[in-house]
Amino acid sequence: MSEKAEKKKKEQKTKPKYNMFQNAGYLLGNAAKVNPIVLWLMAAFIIADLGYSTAGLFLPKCVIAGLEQRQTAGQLLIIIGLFTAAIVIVKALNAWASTYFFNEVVACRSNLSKKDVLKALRTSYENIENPDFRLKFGKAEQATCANGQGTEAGYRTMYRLAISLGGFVIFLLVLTKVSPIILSVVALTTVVSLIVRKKTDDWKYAHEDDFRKNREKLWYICTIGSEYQVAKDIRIFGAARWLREIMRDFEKICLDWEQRCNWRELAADGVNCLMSLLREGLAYGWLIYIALTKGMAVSEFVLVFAAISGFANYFSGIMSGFEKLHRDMLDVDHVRVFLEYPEKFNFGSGAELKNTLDGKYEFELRNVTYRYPQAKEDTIKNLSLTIRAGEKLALVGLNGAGKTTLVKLLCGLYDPTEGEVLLNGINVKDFNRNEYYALFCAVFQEFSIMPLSVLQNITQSLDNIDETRARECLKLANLEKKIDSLPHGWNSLLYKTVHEDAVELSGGETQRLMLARALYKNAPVVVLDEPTAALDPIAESDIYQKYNDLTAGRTSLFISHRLASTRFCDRIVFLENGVIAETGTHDELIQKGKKYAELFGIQSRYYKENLEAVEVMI
Amino acid sequence: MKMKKKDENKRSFIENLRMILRGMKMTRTISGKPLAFSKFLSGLFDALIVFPNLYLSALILNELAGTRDTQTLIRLAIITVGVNAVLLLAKDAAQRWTNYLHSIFWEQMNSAYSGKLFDMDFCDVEDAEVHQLLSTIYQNRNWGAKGLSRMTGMFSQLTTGAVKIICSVALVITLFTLKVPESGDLAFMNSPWLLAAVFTVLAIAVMIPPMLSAKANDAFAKQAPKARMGNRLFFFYGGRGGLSSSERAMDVRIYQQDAFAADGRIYPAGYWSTTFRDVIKKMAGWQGTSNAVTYLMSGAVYAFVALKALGGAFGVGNVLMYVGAIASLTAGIGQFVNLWVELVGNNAFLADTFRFFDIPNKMYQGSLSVEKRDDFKYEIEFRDVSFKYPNTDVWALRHVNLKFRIGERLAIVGMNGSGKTTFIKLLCRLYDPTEGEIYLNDFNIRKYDYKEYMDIFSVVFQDFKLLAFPLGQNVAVAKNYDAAKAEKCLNEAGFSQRLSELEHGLDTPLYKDFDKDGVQISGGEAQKIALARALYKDAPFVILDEPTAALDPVAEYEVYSKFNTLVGDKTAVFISHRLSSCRFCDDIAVFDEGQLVQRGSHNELLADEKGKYSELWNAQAQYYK
Repeated sequence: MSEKAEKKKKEQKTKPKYNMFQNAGYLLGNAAKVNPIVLWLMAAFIIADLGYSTAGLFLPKCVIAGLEQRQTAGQLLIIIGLFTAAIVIVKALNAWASTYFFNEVVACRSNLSKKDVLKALRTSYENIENPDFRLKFGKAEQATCANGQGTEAGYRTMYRLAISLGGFVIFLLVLTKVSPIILSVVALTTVVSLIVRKKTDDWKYAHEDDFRKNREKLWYICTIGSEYQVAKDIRIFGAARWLREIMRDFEKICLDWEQRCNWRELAADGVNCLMSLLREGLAYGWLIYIALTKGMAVSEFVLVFAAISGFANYFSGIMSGFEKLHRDMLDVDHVRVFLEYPEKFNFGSGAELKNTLDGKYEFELRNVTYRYPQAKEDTIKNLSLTIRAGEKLALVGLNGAGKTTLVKLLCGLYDPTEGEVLLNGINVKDFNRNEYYALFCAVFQEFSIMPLSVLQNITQSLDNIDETRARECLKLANLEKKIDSLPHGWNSLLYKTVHEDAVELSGGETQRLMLARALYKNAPVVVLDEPTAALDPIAESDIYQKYNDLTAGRTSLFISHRLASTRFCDRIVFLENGVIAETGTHDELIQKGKKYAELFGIQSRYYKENLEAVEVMI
Repeated sequence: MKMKKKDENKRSFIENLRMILRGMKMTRTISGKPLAFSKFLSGLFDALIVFPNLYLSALILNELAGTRDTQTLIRLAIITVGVNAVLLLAKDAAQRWTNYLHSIFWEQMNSAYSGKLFDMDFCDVEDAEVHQLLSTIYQNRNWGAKGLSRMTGMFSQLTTGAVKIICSVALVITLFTLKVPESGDLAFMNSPWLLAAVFTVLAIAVMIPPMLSAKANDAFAKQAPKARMGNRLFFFYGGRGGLSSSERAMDVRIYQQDAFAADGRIYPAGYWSTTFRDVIKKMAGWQGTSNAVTYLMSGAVYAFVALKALGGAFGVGNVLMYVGAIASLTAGIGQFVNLWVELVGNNAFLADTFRFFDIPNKMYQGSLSVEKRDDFKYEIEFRDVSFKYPNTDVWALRHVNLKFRIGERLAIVGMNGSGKTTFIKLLCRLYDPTEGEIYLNDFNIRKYDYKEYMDIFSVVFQDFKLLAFPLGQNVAVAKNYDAAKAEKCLNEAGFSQRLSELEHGLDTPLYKDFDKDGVQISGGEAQKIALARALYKDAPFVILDEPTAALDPVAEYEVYSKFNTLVGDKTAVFISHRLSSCRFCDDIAVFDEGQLVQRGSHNELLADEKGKYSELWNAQAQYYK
């Protein structure tokens, strides 16, 4: 608990990068750029709201005054008519503007959300795995994800605050005749209400974290049941009972917390009630006293009484408005801090890089060491390796040997902790990183299917589609038959989460699609990271046989934990614990009879004709 | 599953009413607490709070305009202030109570949907149409709290509307009964014609705003599909779980996929604003008009009331009371009309929910008890079994005859899509065969109690799922479990080393979703836990559906060689496309295009050089020769 409290303090100490007014200016600037009508609508709100408050304050007063002074029916009707006309106009304006506004203001937030996402998509890859960056991205994304967040609600808060300020001034003018002491007491009652409310909120905020975890668990368990992968497990293992039991536990914890919160809120409500009782009592008492002693007219009484409660509302509106603005602008701050997150990679102009298909690219890793941030050990240890232009290199090793890390270093996704990666003698850091990425076509183990058509997923582009080549690539990846069998052929959409009518491809088919995409990109360096894991044996064998065609004339890197699959490469690099343990062709390595040969023995054990004969070897 | 969608515009009044009532009843069942009553109270006080104030302040003003008796004024003021404070507190208390009860309603709703999925026939769980339906329900709920989530508000809104109407009618009656003295200029105010005219204007004015806002609501509700699409796009391109998730980050860079997110044709940043602008402009016009009509009418009311007061029908103080009461009356009526229109619109969404909950359980469930046997003598036989997935025309399995040999190992091999997993799903009665029968100890498996039948199987599916709860609970699939047994199973499954490193042992939560103490587990480790879970269940049939796909060769070797001993004298079924696993099995069944094409030992099958098995074997073994 004390640790938590300290952490909380620390969080509060990290001051926003920009102050509230700077962020408000940024938000208004964003609207001016993206959708200026939002600013006009805000102005309309302020005018309409203040107009209505003023008219609404004076209409009863004037009507009652008219009655008291026994004006003629005509005069009375004219007064009512004028007021009604004014009120109808401002109220119509208000309703029109609010409907219009709530739609338009979304664009302002969406623009910031888009900026966030583009930053995340374009940032130096190392940032992606950096917890600090992810935390800041999380905050920025959270800040732009819904209507209630400060990046959208901030606009509302601003015009509401303006209305409170304006209303406060107007009502104060009406109340010049009222004793300042009375007004101070009225203001004081609202201050007390607000302070108590704030204390309650602070208490909730301070304890919310412990509770939120339970709430998230409850939500998790409620949603997990509707995932259909779980459905089989639920039936076979009778998991429904387990889930229901845990759910009831968390439900109870959540309700207990809500109960505590609501009792506190109710206590704050009680204080607020007391204050409003005081305020009303005071207003009535003072007004009755004035009316009786100084002969105040009923109309005046009505006006002042309404003005006092309006005055209290506006005063409270100003205070809570600033409070809300402060909170909303923290969201804006999160966005700005994230957008200004420093970049390590060079995305500006860099050394000249010709992207040609002739494959004249020689890569060299020179004494490369890589340690993951916060890791205790190096993953790659002082490793040197040259990949000759046009070479077909295989990278093998067990899980955790550092294969994928090495690939990421080569592809420019990581920069080495020590040492350097060179392309034709030039340090990779000197190139524009995006131009460098353009050299590679890759199939990684994790891939990013776009919610677009099959064809667009192959070409990774909406325009300038070369259909002939796309078809060739489909054929090479052995996926043509399947795609042609789809109702809309290669115009079928993928990714069901976005397109409800999308087609679903199996794991193997997806892997082939990724292969077709890599082939279409036609870049000079091919990187294939376990590209056959989801394929059945015949399809797998088919890919190996085509490997030479697939990589013709290009430099290629093939990563696998299955040693059998690498025989067709020019050279095999066997990686163990971040260093190159052995290197050579398959036959050379087998003849050496060391680690590679040993592992090959284990893997081929099941494929030997006579099982008993190999039993001894293990 | 066949689902007919009814045209929502064609529901009769009675049908609509029935649906609303059913929706209200359903929310009450789901919340399981006096939520409805708390909502009623909160609605009651919400509406009630204005009326005593209207009445009492009128008395004060009349007193001020009249005799100005100090005693009376003070007494009235004290009563007013006191009643106001009490009602305010009552309103707040009701509101807090409702908040408390409502706080987990969404979770409760979710678990109601999940609960239905738990109990549903498995073929419906896997039905794409059911998924679509549930996803639509969720999306509509998230977008505009449509459907069932709309119904809780009903209890308070109905009350508010009713209370407003009753109280304001009570206050406003004297406006019409009190007459202007016949002697004055304004005697015409008593004319029944004028009264009729006032009522007509009121009636028209009361009806127009709800009609306009109903029109607006309707127009907006029609945007639901576009709104859902917008949300889906936003979650993918704008959310952390979509394009910018870390597992996509490499591809995003190598294939420059940021260009898609930046492309306004695919992901317009202003999607909402531009998509809805035309409708919204119309809606804004309607809302403006609606407000104009309301305030025009209240101007007319003001004039009528003021003239009657001028004529001397009642005191000055009553003016504000009548104006306020009529405003409440029209608001109350408007609320009712609006509510009805909105609910009729909401019925279209509610219909989805009902359609989901009404999916019937069609699978026959017998009551025969499965005999508990220590010798595991459970004999299962497939007799000429054929199977088509619902709504497809392809035989996923065709004429399969197969008898398990008790206590032995059976391997099922074949290419992707050859029917291996389908076979297992039929065996575990997740589906019933389209043709043919499956027998357990001489009875059709349909005749057994479903839950008891499930008890004889332990399955590790390819896409098994562990939950972000403690390790031990995941293994035992229960909250209270036998810790020693769970530990033993984990050790047997090869998880012992990792287990010994865990500070909290079996109580260690899996994954870091909720707990800082949680541990990340690799794919291989997850598989070991899933294996332990299968062992813990200790069922006579153990089935592994491609359990080693994520393991590297050495780990694969470990699992395979150990498994033989782990299952002891139980019957084990392996499914794999890696033929190497078969070498452990006494008995191999080869599936191809839904048919059982070969069966025998490894050597027997390999002897048939033209067989499917040889083809598969050679494709893999060629690299190891």
